[in-house]
Amino acid sequence: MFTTILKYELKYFLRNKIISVLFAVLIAITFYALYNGSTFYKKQTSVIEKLKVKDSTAFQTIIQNFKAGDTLTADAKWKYKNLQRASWAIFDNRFNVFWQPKPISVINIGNRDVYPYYQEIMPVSLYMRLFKNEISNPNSLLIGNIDFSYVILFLMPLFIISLLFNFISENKEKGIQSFLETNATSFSNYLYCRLAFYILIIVAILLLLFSMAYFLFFKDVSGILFLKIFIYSIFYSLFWIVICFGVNKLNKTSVFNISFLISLWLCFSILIPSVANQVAAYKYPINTEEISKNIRRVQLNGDNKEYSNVLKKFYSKYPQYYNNDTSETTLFSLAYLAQGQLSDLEGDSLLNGICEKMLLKQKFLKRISYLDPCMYLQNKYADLTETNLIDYVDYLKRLQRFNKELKLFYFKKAFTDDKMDLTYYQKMPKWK
Amino acid sequence: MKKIIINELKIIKNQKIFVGYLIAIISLWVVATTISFKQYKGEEAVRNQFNNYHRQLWENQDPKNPHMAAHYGSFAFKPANSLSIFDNGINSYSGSFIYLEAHRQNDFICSPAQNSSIFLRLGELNLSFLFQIAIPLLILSLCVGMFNTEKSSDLISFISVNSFSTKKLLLYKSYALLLINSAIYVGLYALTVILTSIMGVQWALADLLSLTGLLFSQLVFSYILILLFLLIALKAKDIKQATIVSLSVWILLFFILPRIAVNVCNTLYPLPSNLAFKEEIKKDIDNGINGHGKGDREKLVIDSVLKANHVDSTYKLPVNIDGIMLFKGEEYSSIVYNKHFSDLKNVILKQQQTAEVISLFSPYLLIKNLSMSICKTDLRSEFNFREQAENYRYYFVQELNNNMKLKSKENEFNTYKIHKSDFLAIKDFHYQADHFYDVIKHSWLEIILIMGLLSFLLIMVKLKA
Repeated sequence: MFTTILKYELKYFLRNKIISVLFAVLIAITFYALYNGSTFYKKQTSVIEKLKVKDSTAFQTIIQNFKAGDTLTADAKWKYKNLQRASWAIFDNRFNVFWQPKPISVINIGNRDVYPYYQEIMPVSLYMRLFKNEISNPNSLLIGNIDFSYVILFLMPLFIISLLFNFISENKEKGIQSFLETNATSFSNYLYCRLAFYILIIVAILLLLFSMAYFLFFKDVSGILFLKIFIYSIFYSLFWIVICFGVNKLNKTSVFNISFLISLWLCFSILIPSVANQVAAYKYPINTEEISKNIRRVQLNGDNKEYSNVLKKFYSKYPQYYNNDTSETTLFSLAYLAQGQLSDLEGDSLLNGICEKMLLKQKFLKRISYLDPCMYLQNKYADLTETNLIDYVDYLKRLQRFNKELKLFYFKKAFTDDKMDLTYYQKMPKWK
Repeated sequence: MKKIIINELKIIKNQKIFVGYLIAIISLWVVATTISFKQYKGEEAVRNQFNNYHRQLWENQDPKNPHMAAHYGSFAFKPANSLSIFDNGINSYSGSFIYLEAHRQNDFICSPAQNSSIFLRLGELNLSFLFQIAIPLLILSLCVGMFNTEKSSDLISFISVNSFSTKKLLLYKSYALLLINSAIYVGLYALTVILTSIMGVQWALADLLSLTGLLFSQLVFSYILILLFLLIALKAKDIKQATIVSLSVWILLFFILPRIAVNVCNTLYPLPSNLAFKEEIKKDIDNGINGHGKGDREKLVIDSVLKANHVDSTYKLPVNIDGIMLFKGEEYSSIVYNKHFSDLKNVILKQQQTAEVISLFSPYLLIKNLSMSICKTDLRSEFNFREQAENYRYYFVQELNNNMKLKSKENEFNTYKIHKSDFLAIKDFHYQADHFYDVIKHSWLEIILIMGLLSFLLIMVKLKA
């Protein structure tokens, strides 16, 4: 009986024009979604490549200026002296840091179009540059991206609903239910056979979509990671199949079933996530306006008393850097560094506070996501493709650590009056 | 006609689905209003606090050289906007303040989305969601069953052979549905305004005018949907087909087409990266006059100033040459920044306009754009704010450069300082949002498209019903 039902359902499935159209639309959107994700990924990686070249060129220039040394023009001498003096060089050298996207992020852009993914920083006054973002159209961000995860999360349930909303009700409406019930095979067996067919079809479609993604866009991506995402997607689709079956089991009309299922889709896909997100924002509020306190340029108004006061404050926190040179030039350049560091110190605690709130928010939403499969899968996609809030926080933390290493590199020389040479420059921390 | 409409209203009122959806809509309204109101009040408090904080810092800063003060800079905060209770627009994806300083034009930094999780992208529950997505679902569920009785009793055939046409029947049904929708929209709008007023939101007359305009647009939008779904219901074989087709249309127009339109436009008109944008600006500035530089171009400017004043040394000038150079440098860098920001704005506007043309097929995108414009939470308002902030930056930086030019001497950079009275003389930044008439004037495309869509559907009713 099973094979007969399968054959019948397959014929029905293939001959159904509406389903064929929906299937073709699904394939077309999937292809576009993958292309879109891939274009986005390429744009970000290409910017990062340019940054790497820029950094490498900047380092080559340092080497050249050192090699040119004292021997050439006044300009070369000036550059050479600046490179040797850490308290000056610290303001001349810029460093590019970036958050490299994973190739798998093609399937899930996530919030990567919202989070800043590269910055040009200086060792001091970090917070003046930290929050600058990539150029974007806020209207496009509001409407959102079409990527592969959108197809699986939003469109796949709709496709499943369109296949199964009248799974049982159709028999009653066509008047064949009583006929089926009087047959030798039990009606429930018949239903389970059909259900098995639809599960197979959905898995096959998912397999097709994932194969399309894998072979066209991800030849170099780890198969295991891809398999994980595929398995999560199967479970998500099974959830919707079960929901459709459950609603059908209520023995209502097809109209009721589809209306109810679409309402559920709206609830799981938009309502619950948005309410949860708003609650999280309310519970862990982050006032971005606070950042305005720490993004101003370092200001010194030009008198020795002010420089000494700044340095006094600085040495009380960092006695290891104590320097007793009180000549005006040294005092000014060290006070400038000290002021930058003191301002960064405030920025550090502000950023730590923001990061902590972001993590708490994420933790809270993760807990809620166990109640909503759409949220759960979205979170899983973001985790596996490293496009989540937690990954952005990780990037910020790494950036903060790198900035500290850079500071240490320059401060060691700036506050001891030691000159920097090429050997020392070659030990300069590198962004990883 | 009156009898038919009253009869239809009675039928709708007695439908279980109507009661169910009405309860859901009221519950959503309570949640959405609470969220939108709290968000607005929070924004109002924080922005006022920080605006005052920075103004105090500005007024009470230590005496310093005017150009140092220009470098120290100031901030322009976007004031909280009570209309955002009705439509928060792009606010989550745009920042709320801009750092204003000498030599540079900065952009907004740190949008709320920047510290949000991925779930923000699944949607935001607010009043615009209720009015633009949830209520249309109610309209849809009412429309699909509107011809059920006529079809099951074959009344349709009877009507079509009589003088009373199906067109009239469809129109009368649409009037009944419009009445119900109007009652819902007007009721919820009025309740929102009254409740938020009680809770401390001050609605100006101009805001109420904007809200009336918004309400009218929402009613036109809902009438478009009513006609569309009634036509589908009339043409469908049965209620099942009507439901499937209507829901497919709803999903296509509300969820898929807008994303496709916006994503296609991003591909057609790509934006430059910040890296490339800044490099282009730097290149242009390096090839021009830098207020702090001592290159050949700066020498040319100095020579022309000396010539104009008939002197042979900058020390003999009645004004400070450094102030002049900083003034000229600022003038030049502003031209460069304005050009590049204007190019960027043009690309974004091209994306927007193309998306609007594509959105001719999506009433949702049309109403969304119009609603954001009316509530001043759209791209135009963002550009408007940026431009005003830039005008203010240029004003205060040049005032300070002028002060240095006129009141100090060359080589007095470290000794000449301005004081509190000078800082107070720099006016505070005040943002002037667009008036409702300007919004309407600039939203002509959406208005024409939405009226065009309505006319098209009315013609379709005439031809097909």
